[in-house]
Amino acid sequence: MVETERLAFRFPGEERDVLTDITLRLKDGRTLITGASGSGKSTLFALFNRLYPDNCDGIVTGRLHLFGRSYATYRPGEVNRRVGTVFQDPDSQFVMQTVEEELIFTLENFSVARSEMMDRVSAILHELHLSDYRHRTIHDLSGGEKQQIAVACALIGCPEWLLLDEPLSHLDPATARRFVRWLDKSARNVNIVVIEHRPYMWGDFFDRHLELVNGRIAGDGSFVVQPDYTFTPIETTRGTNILFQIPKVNHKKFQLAASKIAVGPGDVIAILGRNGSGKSTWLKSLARHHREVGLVPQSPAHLFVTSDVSRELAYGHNRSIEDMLARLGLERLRDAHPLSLSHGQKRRLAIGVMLLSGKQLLAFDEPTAGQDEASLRALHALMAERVRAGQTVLFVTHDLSFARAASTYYLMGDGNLSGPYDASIWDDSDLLRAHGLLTEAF
Amino acid sequence: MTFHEMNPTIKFLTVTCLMFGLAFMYNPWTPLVVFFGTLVLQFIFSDVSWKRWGLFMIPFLLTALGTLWTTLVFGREASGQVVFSLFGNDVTEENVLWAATLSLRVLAFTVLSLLFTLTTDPKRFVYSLMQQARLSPNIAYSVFVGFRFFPILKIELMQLYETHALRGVRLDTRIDHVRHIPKLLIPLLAGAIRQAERIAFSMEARGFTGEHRSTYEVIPVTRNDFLLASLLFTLFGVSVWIGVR
Amino acid sequence: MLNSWKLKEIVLLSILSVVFAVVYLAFVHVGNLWAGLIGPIAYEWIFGIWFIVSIITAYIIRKPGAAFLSEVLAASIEMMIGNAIGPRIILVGIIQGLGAEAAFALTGYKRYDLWVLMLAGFGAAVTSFAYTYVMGGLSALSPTYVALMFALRATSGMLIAGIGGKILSDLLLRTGALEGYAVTRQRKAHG
Repeated sequence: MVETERLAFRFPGEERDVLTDITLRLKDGRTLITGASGSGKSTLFALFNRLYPDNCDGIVTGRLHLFGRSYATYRPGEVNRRVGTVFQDPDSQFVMQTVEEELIFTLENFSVARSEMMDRVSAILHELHLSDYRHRTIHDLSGGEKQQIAVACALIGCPEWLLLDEPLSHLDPATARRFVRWLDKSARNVNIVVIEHRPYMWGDFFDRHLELVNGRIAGDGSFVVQPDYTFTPIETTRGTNILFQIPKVNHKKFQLAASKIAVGPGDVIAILGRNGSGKSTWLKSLARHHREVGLVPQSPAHLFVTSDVSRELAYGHNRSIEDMLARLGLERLRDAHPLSLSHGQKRRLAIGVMLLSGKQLLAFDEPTAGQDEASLRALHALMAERVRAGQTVLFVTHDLSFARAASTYYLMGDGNLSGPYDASIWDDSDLLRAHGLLTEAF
Repeated sequence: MTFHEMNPTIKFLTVTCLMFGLAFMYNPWTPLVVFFGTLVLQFIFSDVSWKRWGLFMIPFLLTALGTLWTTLVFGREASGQVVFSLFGNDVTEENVLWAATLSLRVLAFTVLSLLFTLTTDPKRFVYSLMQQARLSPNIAYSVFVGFRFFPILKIELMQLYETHALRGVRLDTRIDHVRHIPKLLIPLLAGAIRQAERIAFSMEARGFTGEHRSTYEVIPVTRNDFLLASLLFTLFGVSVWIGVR
Repeated sequence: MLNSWKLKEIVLLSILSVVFAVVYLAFVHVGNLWAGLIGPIAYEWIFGIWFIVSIITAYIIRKPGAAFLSEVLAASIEMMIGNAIGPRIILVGIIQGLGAEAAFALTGYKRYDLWVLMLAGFGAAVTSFAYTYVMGGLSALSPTYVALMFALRATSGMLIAGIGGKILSDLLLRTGALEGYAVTRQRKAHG
């Protein structure tokens, strides 16, 4: 499908190439593309489905052929009949309200005759085992369901290739595993290319593995099943326990039972549970009821209330911020807008904000979602540093690999918190499976 | 034959024409007749919740009152017999007539507007504009994306309120919430702009170019559309005749 | 008119129109609270609010039609979410949008300095006032009162829409969300 020779790509006004010297041939089958954030994976995808260079006025050099023809000879939308794409964010890839309308939107784009449309919609939904979703409102679906619908929308045009850009990054492991198995079974007649940070989720799905480093191809060969990254427990220095009580919460959709946790300063605690188990609601409730808890939301940007870094740190108190700016490595960004920072910088700023307002327990909501290995390692180091300084770290997650960083565990299932457990929890696979955390071994 | 089924573009044009015509009628009788006539037509040819209708009507009753007394107090000097005196201003017969015309006009505008708004489904209106008024599909589908943003923005707003409360922003009462909104506008917009770009890309990845599309939802133009339109125009004609007589 | 537009710019225009349609509608209620008491002049001093989307959008996208289209869309969406002024508000949007658009057209769509944005706010005030004069029958009021109304609206257009729009856009620019739109590119090009 794609053939490139010494392909390079640069955004307008930038000095460095995002992609350099890419020579590759995509063959039929299933290909995995890995690489750190900023390695050019998504840019490469955007060249495959011709969103670039037109959309960003980028500069292409070298040879780029799609289906045996130069990319430049394609009319807008032409290649998209043969290449379907599923993106990372389940919330920003739909146009219409219901599943059926969304599928029809795609068929209209391909000028399918009106009389054929209903049959095509029924056929694709049947083939993908999604018929029950036909009249559902997309907004009400879960992340995993939205991704399945996105696949249906990509496949209804009968493309020869399907591109998926980190489709699992917002799903919990059990859902992700189900999605992969479903895709494996349903998408039999289409070639697949996937971008993924954490390939272990896909088991032995792929035939071929391409690796990008800094915009160059660093590896290209047969796919070998790989284990996930491993994280070591952070060394803890446990002080005397403080008891936190969290009262019952009555939500419209579910109930959260009253709970309590015992927390010692210098401890690392993980709250494990699947998406929708109530763990984020529980965390918010913890932060609301205990002033010493500093909540770092999944997107730290939600915390910011001012328009520059220094004012953000100074908000709500009159302690000096200079020392903190230096410790967070944010001195040069003191006048930047908090929302313009990178994800890692936002997280550090959020922690700085919490520490300056005297929070002793740092509570992270789902801190690993969509992060590459370097970013996860940085998070691990940051948590270790906070623990050494005497603060307590608590995080809510469904990421079992990263959870190994903790030494105390609690489990959340259907609004009930159980625990504490120690590291022996990892041997109790029945317990983990009952909480939707463990699927079969890959 | 109802206003709900009427072709939205034709309905829109008819209602707009009537409103424009009303603006050039300088007597109180025309807007008065249009007001009651539209009510009668709406009663016969539509099935709307009159409670909702009433709720929408309240602010415009206030505006009509405001217009009435502004025109009386700040009315331009006019000839005719002085009827009464208000805050030291002599109010003439002509002034009174003006005031009545303008405030009735506000009411007539409102019933016509409500006739359109309460019987028109936004999605059908956009489809119809695409098919009958050659609205660019690029704009039409961007508007559909916009519709999808209402619930997304609402959730985003809730999350911002929750986390900002944890930062120590005072958000106890309803007024606190309202007062905090300007501060939320930037994060809300910044997030929405980033999402807009992703949605546009995903539309293009699904082959959307704004051209060479087929259409599933066909909004027809029927004889009934013209019948309803002529009923409204007849009403206007009658009201003008009564007014100038 | 739309040939030179990218889809992402049109979607952005639509999203901005959605957000500001909500803001517009909220301010209609603010105006209504006063209007019953002091008459239509209640709207005048906040009138600039209702021009702001065209100034922000034109400033960001910098293409012919941005000011006009965003104002018309915002008005249309406002109608669909419950402004009972109804279809007439689209006409209002068209007229206000033309006023703002005229200012940008005068500079050949080349300049987006503060004074141009204020001129656009003033332009919207002029056209929208002409509309109010006809539809609201302002000829029935004393000329001094009408002049006061216009002065208020023009000032509001220049201050709230012109200066306010610039402040809001520049804040958005600082968040980095406008990377890849004309406003960021032209700023980079000028150093």
